[in-house]
Amino acid sequence: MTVPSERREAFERYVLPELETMFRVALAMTRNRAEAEDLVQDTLLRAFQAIERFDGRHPRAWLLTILRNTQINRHRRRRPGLLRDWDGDQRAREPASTDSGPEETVMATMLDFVVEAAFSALPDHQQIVIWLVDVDGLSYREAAEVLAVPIGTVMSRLHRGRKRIMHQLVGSEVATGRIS
Amino acid sequence: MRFRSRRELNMSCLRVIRVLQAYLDGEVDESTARLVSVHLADCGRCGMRADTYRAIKAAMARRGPGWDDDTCQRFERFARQVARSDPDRI
Repeated sequence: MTVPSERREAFERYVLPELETMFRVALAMTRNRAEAEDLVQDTLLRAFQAIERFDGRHPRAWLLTILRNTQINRHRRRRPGLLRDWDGDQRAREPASTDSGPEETVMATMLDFVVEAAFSALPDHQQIVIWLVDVDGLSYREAAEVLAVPIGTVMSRLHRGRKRIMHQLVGSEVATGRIS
Repeated sequence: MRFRSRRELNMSCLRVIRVLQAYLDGEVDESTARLVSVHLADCGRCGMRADTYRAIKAAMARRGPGWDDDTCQRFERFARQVARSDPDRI
């Protein structure tokens, strides 16, 4: 694949459909929109350089691996020895529901508040798995690939993290369905 | 041949709890999903637990990052620029 047009065509065919997933995963990793955008751009450049060696199978897994490695390198370069920080630069969240009545909206907002507080108290490794699965909609296999851990680890981190959130929620006064 | 009763088809609470999150994430096979679903309909306690996990998942999903048309167009523009560039000069 040395012809520029073939390289371009392959890049556009495999990479363009995955932009949204790349951005969502980047945001899960950085928790910062500007950093996430930089990370995706760096990943795109690396992917383009590597497209000739890509066999065309599992483009998402291929791209997410590049993204993860890019993030690791960026991190090492800038802050050796530190884990990512929380800067709270997350998009202002929309109301929990736009098509329900005021009471339901208030309850859902309270629920979001409790869940957010419980989520924020979780260890990083549990937070990122929950984010990848629940916010980004990744499968267990995809989350395992992004994090370079076995699927069993994804499952146990999810299980423990959500269980802790559940305990906070049940202990609160927020009603959820049959919970009261 | 004997038909199995609804009770026989039902999973134990312990087994359901073990697979509940994977079930809610759509990560179990069809037959397991059917068994869990039967159990949740019958067991108030597990049904309540499932409702709570669903509420947590829904609350998390509402935190979804801002992937909008503008972001999409910017990335696409950038990706197409990259695709037209010389890889040796990146």
